[in-house]
Amino acid sequence: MKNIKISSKNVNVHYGAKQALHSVSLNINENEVTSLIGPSGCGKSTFLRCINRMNDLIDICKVDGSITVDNEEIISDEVDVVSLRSKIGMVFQKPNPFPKSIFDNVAYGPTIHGIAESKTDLEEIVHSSLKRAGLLKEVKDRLHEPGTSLSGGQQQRLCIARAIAVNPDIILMDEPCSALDPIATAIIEELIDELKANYTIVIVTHSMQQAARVSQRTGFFHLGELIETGDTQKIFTNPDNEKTQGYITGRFG
Amino acid sequence: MEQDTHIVKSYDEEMKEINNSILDIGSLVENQLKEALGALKNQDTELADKVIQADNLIDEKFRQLDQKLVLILGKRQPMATDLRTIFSAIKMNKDLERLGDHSTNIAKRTAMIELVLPEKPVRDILRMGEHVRVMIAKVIQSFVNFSAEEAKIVWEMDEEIDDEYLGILRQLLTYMMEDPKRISACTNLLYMVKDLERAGDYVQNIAEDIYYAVSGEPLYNDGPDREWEAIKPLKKKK
Repeated sequence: MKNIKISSKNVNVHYGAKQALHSVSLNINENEVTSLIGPSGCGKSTFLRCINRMNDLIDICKVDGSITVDNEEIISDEVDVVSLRSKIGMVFQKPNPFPKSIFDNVAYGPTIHGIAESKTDLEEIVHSSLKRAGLLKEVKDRLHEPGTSLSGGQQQRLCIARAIAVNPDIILMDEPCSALDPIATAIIEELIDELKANYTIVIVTHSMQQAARVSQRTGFFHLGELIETGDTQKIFTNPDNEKTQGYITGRFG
Repeated sequence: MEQDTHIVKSYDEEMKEINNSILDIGSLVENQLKEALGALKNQDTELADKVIQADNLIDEKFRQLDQKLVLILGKRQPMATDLRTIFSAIKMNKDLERLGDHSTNIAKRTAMIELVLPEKPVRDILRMGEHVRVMIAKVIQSFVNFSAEEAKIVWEMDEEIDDEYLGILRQLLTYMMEDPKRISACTNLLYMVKDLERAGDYVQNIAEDIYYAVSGEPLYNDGPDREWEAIKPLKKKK
């Protein structure tokens, strides 16, 4: 039995008058990859952004219900959001390295969070993060070149290195491969597979095949509702719900 | 919500083509057995030769469908019900081709035999063969109706085929022991009855594939090996 890392209960999200999520309850296991799938606008990214309180950045957005991380409530005004986000890294659809060197991109988080105690310490964190993101070999001789000089796939791995440099427990990925070619995608997928030993990963993807390949659990969202959740193997071979079946077989969307 | 058709129309057409190919091969295979049994009944070597030739067409259709299935897997990367249907179709195609081979084997033996065959076992083999033919027709019908219930009924019918097989097996052994001159004719009949027993197993496999395609649940035969149970007493004691 896997440990539950993240647990949401009856989460509702409103953007002004429009309700984007309807009573979403979902458990996410520790050291597993959970995929969130569904048509555009179904609420999967909105749900992902609830986990690190990114929705706080949108004025008209209101979140209610409960989400716990390690049994601690995060939907509360008392939560220190900066500290929460240091536990939860995020990787976006388009690689978004800072306009800084490769080294500084990765060093930025540990520096502002005061994680590194010395320069050597910081170098060690940057090296180990790049290594864990599978990028060190390719960039070790050019750490002071701009992050933006890397290829798209390398930039995305740089963003993953930047996310793990602050030593999070959870990594949220919002369509991390949608801007990448098949080879760069395969490298990221291989990386996700390796990272799950140390992190809990939640990935939003539009690729059914990617969800089937990388995740152990899958949740299907439709019109703001979590329609079905279960073992990935079951969802893609024999889903219980007709809507899930219709969506993953390309019968509606 | 429209659930019956894919957004991409050509995907539906490809799935339909696969279904039609299975039906086409299924009806050829059923006819192959029917004619092989007809040839045996009348010891009609001309008809037996025709059956032997007809196997080439089944093989050709098998290869064509095999190609279509590989292509649709690569092109569509099917999921859920489509994945199960295509996965099952791959197995059904192979099993139908093997079914055709078993009918062809019966025809080959018929074409070879120039002996007087003992009447009773031949009659029993023809009856058993007709039961297998009905199973093929029904299993194909269960595929047309995409019915797990109908597939399960056919799946259970194999038990009767196994019973008939063991009965004829014992009968032929008795014939051979009573009169060694019958050994040659009875050996040919033994092969035929074994072909029919295997044919029944293939139909049972196809029923399992259809059951899985429709329901998503496996249907396993985990009962005892009845043939082994029946012949075990004949094993020499050390």
